[in-house]
Amino acid sequence: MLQSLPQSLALIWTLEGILVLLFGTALGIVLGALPGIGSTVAVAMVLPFTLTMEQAPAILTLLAIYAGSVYGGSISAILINTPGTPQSAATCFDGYPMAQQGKAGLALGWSTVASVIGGTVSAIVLIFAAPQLAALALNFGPIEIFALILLGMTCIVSVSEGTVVKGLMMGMLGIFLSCVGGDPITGESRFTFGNYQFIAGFNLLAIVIGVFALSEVLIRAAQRLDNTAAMFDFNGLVLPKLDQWRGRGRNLMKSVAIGCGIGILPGTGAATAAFISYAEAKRSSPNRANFGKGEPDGIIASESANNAVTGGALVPTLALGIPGDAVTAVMLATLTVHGVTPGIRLMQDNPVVMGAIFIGFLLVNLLLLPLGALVSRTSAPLLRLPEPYMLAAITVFCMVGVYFVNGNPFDLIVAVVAGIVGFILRRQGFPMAPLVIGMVLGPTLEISLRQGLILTDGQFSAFFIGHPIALVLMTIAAIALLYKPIIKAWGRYDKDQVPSKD
Amino acid sequence: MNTTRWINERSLVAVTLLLIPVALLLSTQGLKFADLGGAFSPVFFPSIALWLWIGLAVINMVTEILLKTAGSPAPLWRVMIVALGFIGYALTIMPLGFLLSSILFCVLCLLSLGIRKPLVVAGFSVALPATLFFLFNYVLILPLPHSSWTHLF
Repeated sequence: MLQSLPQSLALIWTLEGILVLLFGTALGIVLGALPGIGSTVAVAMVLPFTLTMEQAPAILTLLAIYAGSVYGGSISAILINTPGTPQSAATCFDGYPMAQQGKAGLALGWSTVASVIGGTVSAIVLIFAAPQLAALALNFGPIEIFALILLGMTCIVSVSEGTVVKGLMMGMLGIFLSCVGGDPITGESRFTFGNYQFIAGFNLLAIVIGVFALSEVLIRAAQRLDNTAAMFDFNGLVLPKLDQWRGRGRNLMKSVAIGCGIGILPGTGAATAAFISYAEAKRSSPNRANFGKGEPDGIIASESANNAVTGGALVPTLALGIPGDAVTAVMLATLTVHGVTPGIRLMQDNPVVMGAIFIGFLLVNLLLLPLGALVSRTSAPLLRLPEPYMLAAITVFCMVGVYFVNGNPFDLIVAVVAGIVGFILRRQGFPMAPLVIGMVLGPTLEISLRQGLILTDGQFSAFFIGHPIALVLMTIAAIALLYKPIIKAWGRYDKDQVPSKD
Repeated sequence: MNTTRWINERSLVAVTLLLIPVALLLSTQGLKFADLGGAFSPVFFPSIALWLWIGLAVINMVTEILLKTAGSPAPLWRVMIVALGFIGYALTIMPLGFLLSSILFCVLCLLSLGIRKPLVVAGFSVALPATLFFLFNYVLILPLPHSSWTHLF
């Protein structure tokens, strides 16, 4: 890929390339700051605007929206105590109290610098780790790919915190939905019930927009709409002085490492990374007594970790085609719309575009600093926008997005049905991310399993013999699937062994 | 006996989520291509997913019944209006065109969500779709659906 570096740079170093990086990042920050949109919906909403662009600028726009929206969530978390994205929920704990003390600008300054450092380090991790991982997986056959996808599927357990059965059910629903339409091996139609609209299968983005965006509109419509969120006076971002950083470097580096590590693991996502990092900072910080009262270490931990996840999460997404969470699943789908198929051969087949993506992602994270300062001030008044306008606008943007993916009106109906069903399921505590992960990984899982079985004359046991990589991957998958229930059960058993004090 | 303890939104969803994969699995019985057998059969993989779904749905249903929690009586009239708005929007976007259907949806959505100022409702409902219509049709040259009786919108 190093040989194609000049060509990759040439793709970015154009007027269009620079403009998409600037506008994409700025728009991402604004969309991330608006509560209720979130990174997943932001990427899906912007997709139609990228359809007329060349491949590299289009993908860079979407990456800029992704990284910008993760940072943007901290603006509303600090100013109105409502995280714009779930990833910024932990930022509320110290960001909002700091704003209450009249230091909203400084709180945003801490979050901006932490986000820039977290995101930039993660971009470097992406640049070095993704090609290595892809090269490692280059010689995988169908059995190894099956084991790899199975391992990716176990991330459903981690995105279904507290509702593993419901999460797995949604995963199965996602896998089933991916099976509707033509069979990839025989070409026969299945589960179409004589309806020709089903033959091409369900459009992933229509389902994603339905279950995330439209169901969110319904959920917010069901709640009492509160348009009176108090916002503190905010006169612009204030960067922390160098001496204010004294004693905080270790917390920053640890949080970035947690974010990058968790990002690479499929399924954990930025919100989990931010909470783990916050908890670790609270445990180890010399200022732990001030946590929850406007302590900068809390903001640094949360914001550096959630932005560090972005690059980490793109490693398995781009190198193996395994998305870690809903946002990367949507990123993966949008890349496919633009003719880039993430997976093992991606680096081999598209070295120039991939180089541009890596450099662009690094630049996007660096741009968060100047654009964060500029956009946070201009976008703050938008937080006062009454929610009904935002919900109506989200719906219209989503319909445009769904329509433009294929230009098929049937997709609009699919999105609406997915939205209503998603609303009913979310009310009952069913997580939606596993459905998307199931839908994305389902086709590869099916093809690799069936090819593997055809190669081994239908002997599934042969998957374990003579395929050590597959065996290792499946063992890790089994551990990932079972370790939480076992630890939980062990904890209960252990508690039962402790004699009661009564 | 308190029927809402057993028949509530939670239990209805749990039962529906069990019945759907059962019905789908039954629909594969007797299909011609199912004779291919083994990994060659187009329903081989979906059947595995459906069986696993059924197993999980049974566990889920038992858990929901054991929990014996009644559904939350949240006011849903607003949701129903917006959901009907979604359906109407999706169905009218082709015959009425993007602009008209979007204006109608925005008016319905804003009114049902409590915005009562007629000028504001009208202004927002026209301005947003019109801006998008102009942007996509004339700037990005990605035509949004027009109504069936005029080429203007």
